[in-house]
Amino acid sequence: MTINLTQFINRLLQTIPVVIGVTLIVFSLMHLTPGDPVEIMMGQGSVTEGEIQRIREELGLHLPLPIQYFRFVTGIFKGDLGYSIYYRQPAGEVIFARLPATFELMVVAMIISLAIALPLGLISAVRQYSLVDKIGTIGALLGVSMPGFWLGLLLIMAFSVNWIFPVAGRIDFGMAPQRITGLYLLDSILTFNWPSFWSALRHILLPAITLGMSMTALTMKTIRSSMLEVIREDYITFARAKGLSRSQVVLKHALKNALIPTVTVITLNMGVLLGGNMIVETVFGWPGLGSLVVNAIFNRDYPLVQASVLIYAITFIICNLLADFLYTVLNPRVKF
Amino acid sequence: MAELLKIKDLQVHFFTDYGVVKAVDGIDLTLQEGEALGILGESGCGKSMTALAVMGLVPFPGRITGGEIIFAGRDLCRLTEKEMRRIRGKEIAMIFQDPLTTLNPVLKVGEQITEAIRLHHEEGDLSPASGRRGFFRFWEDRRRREMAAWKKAVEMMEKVGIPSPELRMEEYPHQFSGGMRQRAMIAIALSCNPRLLIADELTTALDVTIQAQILDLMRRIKEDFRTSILFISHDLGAISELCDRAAVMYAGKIVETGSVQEITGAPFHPYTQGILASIPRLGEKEYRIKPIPGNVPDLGDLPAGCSFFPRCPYGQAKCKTELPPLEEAGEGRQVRCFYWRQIRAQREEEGGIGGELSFAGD
Repeated sequence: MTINLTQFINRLLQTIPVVIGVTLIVFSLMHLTPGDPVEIMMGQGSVTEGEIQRIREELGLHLPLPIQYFRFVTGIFKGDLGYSIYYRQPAGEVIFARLPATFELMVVAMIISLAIALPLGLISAVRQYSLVDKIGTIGALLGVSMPGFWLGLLLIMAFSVNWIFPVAGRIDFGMAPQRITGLYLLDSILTFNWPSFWSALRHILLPAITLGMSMTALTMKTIRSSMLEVIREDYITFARAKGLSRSQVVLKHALKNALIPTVTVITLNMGVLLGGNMIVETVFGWPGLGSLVVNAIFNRDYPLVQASVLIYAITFIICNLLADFLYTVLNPRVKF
Repeated sequence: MAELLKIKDLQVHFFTDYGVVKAVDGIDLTLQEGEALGILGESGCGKSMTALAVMGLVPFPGRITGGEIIFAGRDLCRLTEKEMRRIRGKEIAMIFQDPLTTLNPVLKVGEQITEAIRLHHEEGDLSPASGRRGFFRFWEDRRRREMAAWKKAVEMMEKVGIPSPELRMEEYPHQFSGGMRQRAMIAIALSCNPRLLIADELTTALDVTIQAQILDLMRRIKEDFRTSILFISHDLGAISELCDRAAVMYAGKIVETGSVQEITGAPFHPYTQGILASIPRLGEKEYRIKPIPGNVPDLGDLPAGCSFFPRCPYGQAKCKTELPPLEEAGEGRQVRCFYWRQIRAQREEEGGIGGELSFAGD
């Protein structure tokens, strides 16, 4: 569990080539695809060739690609993620305005998913072939194979139309709490604004369940199988031979071992959640990063797509780092 | 000496998809207070299951289907899980074969020892309650208990011969060598002063020099702690070093019991003779190891008669159909063979000791 600082910093430095690689790929992909962003900006017809040329020069789109790339990368280090063509605002600002919504959705999805997956996975392992195990296994298969957009639509049909949960959005109109962190649930708790909290909770529940579903299934499967492996180990029998009760052995001796692979799966899946939220945010009209990226792609808003993908990639890298870090914390046999 | 453990007609059966496997098929054993009893047998003959049955830890789909396990006057088979928990670890402790897999890899060794101590010592037992009252008392007592358990654990580690125990307490099992892990495991088992210590293949996974050290340690435990030991092994050498008496198991049944001297010096059962003959000896002209031909029969499909019959050099027609009873063959001596008298007579004629009696057709 001792974390060597130099090794930690080493691991951190390893991420730099990855980030550079990501910027390169993002940049090339956007420029290789056909379609002129300036034309889209201007709409059809009414602008002159000279005007288009002027805007292209303004945005630096007339420069050779390597120079555009160089400007893109140096911009990042200056905190400049580019200028959104469509929103006519710095891309960074557009993204960071949306980030809390996505983050909030991810966190709630994660909490729901863990709250279901951990106990269910644990019980299905300890009581293998029991009813809970069978239901869990079938449920997990369903959860994994159900695409997010379809589940989302089903949930909307089942619960939303004139019923308990709203169809879309983050909160009822005019209910937004005073902005402190940008997370509506947290902000409304901090300001004791219970009506807002209730409204935000009702809005977030369905998208969060949809988003977390595949992860729930995967986490449950992982914890079940690693638990099944662990409870057959000698040290479990030995712990029982000490006189510990079954539940003490499961919760203390077995779970700690079974969590090692599970935590890795969970942290790596946080990245997948981020990808999945494009669909979920679009289905539920959630004003987060996912729907922003989808729109930016349709609008050929190069700088905005570049900037968002960069944010995605960095989040992925952080998740990876976190997975490595937690792995060493949980497993005393491994160091960074 | 008082009787500490008495196993009567114990049966442990496994209910698998392929039928019932009789892992332990009606065994009787007695263990006196302060005595060390060895159980000898090949892999898969029910030794470990007997031990787990005593602990009440027979794994699924196995079950104790009959018999009694009387420990200090109580039938363990009739106890509830809760009552059994109070006996496990405190009155009967068990140590396992593989020290590499028996300690939890993610918990500190110290934690694994103190855990058992905290579990079985009553509050006042470890340290007197503090004078404080009210809210802090709970934490204070808890801290004192933990400190006392810690001290006791260090003491135990010292006793089993782990150097610089205070430092070792803070380490994880992977930082221990195999022999040290075995010692740590023994320390855990002994930490609550059990009356009975079950050692399942304790020395099998260790190399020879460490084996000798561990056996030495076990002998000291037997003398210093006055702990009775049930020593399960397939290594006759280890058993004869440590034990007073031995029981030989074959295919879920006991085939011979007696003092270690009798078993090793003058075995009556052909199986025991086979085991002895298979031990290589120094100064022998023949360099090949003489194994017992054949394998242990499938415990799910035992032959009708004597289960050793297919491998027995003395086998007669009677052995094939009839199960020989466990006969008294002297003071504290039992043999499960129809022809043990003839075997004894032949042995006396040849004046040989174990291992030199040749098998027919060998």
